[in-house]
Amino acid sequence: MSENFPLQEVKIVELTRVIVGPCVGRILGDCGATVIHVETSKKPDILRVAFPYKDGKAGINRAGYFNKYNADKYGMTLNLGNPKGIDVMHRLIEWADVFIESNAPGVVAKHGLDYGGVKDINPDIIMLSTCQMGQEGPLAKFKGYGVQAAAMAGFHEVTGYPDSGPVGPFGSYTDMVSPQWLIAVVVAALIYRRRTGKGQYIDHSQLETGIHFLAPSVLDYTVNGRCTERIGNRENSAAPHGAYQCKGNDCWCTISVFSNDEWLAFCGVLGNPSWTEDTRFTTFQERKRHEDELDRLVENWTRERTAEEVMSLMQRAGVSAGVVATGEDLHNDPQLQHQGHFKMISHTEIGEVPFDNPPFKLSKTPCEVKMSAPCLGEHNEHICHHILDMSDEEFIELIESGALE
Amino acid sequence: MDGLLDSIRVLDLTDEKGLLCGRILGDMGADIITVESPAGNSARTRGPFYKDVPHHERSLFWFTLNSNKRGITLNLETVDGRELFKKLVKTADFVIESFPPGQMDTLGLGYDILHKLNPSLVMTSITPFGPDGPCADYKGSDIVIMGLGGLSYISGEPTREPIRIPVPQSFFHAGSWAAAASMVAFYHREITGEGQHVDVSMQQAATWATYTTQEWWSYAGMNLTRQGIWRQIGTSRMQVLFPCRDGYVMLFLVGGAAAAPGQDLLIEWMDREGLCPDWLRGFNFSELDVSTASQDFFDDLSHALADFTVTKTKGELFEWALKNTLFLAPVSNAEDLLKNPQLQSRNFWVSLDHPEIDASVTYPGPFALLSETPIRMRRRAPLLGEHNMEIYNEELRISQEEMMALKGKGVI
Repeated sequence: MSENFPLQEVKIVELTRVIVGPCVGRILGDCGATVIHVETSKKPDILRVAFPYKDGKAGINRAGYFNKYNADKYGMTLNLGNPKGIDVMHRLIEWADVFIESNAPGVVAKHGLDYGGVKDINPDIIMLSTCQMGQEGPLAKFKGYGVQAAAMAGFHEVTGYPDSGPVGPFGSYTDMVSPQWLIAVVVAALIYRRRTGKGQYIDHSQLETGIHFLAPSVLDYTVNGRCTERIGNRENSAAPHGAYQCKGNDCWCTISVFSNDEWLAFCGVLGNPSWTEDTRFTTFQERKRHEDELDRLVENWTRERTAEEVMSLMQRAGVSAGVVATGEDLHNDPQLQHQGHFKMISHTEIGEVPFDNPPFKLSKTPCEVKMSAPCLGEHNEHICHHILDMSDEEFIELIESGALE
Repeated sequence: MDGLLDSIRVLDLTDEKGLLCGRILGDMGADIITVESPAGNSARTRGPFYKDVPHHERSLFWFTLNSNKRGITLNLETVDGRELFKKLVKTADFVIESFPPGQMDTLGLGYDILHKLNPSLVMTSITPFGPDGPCADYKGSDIVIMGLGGLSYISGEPTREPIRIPVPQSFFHAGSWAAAASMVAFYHREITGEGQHVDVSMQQAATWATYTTQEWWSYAGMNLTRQGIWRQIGTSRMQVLFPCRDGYVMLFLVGGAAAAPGQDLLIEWMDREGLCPDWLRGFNFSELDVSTASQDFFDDLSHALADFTVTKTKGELFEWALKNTLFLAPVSNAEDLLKNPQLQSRNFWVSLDHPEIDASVTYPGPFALLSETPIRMRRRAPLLGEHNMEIYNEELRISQEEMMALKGKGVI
């Protein structure tokens, strides 16, 4: 590799599934780490059998969900119920600096791959376990998906319209907030290990990280005894503040006006219509008091314009506003394009597809997606030959034994 | 060493958009010095406030993002202030900032200059849309960034406006991704001794919270849309949020081999309480193919379930679900969280004393349990200028007279 990736000497093996664990490995891979994703063909990751599939055709290697979180990894299939399979896993553990697993608590222990077992093979390894509730505790065995963890963390209770029940952010939101912290702590643990020679075990609960993303609202309860109520898109210190319908089918633009200068600029963009001088709207307190009416008047104006037009008119005047982006909009966003957010990479089975780059850039050492997600078992031979130095005979024996299923 | 980042120093110049980055590094043991203008960080004006009294020493928003940090005041708009900052940079491993693009350069404190003073420095910049590009100078409030990042469009009722989480998620996505990126740069420094400049775009960070929005478009040419309290399954939608006596629960029902054992038992429970419609009695979920079931079926099922759940509390339903294996969880409010037995058993809640308001405040605690270097909540957020003496006088050896003079000139 000619380029100088920051984590290029780091070796990671993961026994991960769904989002959080795979996403940690994916970003570390973008930063140059060699990552081996171990899975089994007997029980494929649910993301491999989830929509959307490339061109709408279902297939184990065609799922966008899996591909998104597993780029920049070598893929290997192993049957851990097979003695030769577990032996290969042990050799990968021995090879690795970091072992990441994201199974239900107790699953890796069944294969002797809990921290105690792993440490016997590789004493200074760093092991990360991430699951919904944490490894121990009365709810550790809770069965559910990230959507349930998000509801339990409190996102749904506070997110919704003031006149109806909870709605929540889309999907398994605790999965969206966890990987970042884990990348930070794994790399910090690698540095600590370089300095002290000591590895360690990291036990992570996605529920807990979710709560950190709501911390100010949680303190409002622990200090003031108040549970946050659903307020739609409103914000205490701003008005107008919302998502407003624009011209077109389900097209929206957000606008937020915090300061008085922003209010005057906002009125200027609208051409200072007479209602903006009505005493119901001239001060912030009055605007808050008449916010329903204010929102209606703002929307009367936005409805006549496209979301892009509203955004650029407002931003040119110094008012914070933005298109509520669809998937298509993200791909066409000029700022994201400027930053090279999406990168086309050829996938072995489905051809060229765009992958998201990490949300950061380092000035001297590149961090970017380089290799497509693996097809199921795509790198079995590469890993056995080049990483585990097996002979052809040994590799063929493995295949015949069913260890690589 | 007993913290992961012991002996690492971070100068934190961020406002609300980036404060979480330093908080995470501080939780891992680094010495974080938050550097505020003498007027105070703008995050101090964000509510909620202690006992609802707006005051710069009572912002709960500030409290949560600045635990485990020390704090000094410094006016970077003054020549003396910049010189002092440069002295501090020589003692630091990281500088984190979230000024508008280019402002550090305008202040004469851009990466090139700081790098000359301290070649191993890692400087992390957090901006709404990145350092350059056609929209780099756009203003980005939380609602705007979450919209441009793609999560808002898919959140909310299909027939109503896209909805925001009312706690500023884009600030926290940016801050936590900045912590990740800073550690990657630090790893490179550990090997080579070389520092570098890290750029984090809040919009890009937000795009990582959108599941397969991007892939629905690039793989299937479709836009993922809002599903409200339902989830799309095949061509039908199934309700997942249900009312109960004291709030709501989230319940996922699955068909075929993946069906949870508790699903059929739930129907039996409904029946025992006389709340199971005839058609649903004895229903076997393992024989249900959700991809072909009709919308009428899901609507009837949802009504029957809602009629039952509304007679129970969140706690009753969750307890039953744990015993019988059902994909059900309470829609928790903060009160439920404090009572959550799992969080209690992991000692998640931590109290920190705030003597100046005569209070002990309960916080969310360690973000992970580390066997060798536990994450600890060591100190509450700093008061404005609380550690000026420690840093300027005791460490930089600036006399108290000089400090008074600097104070007089509005530098500290």
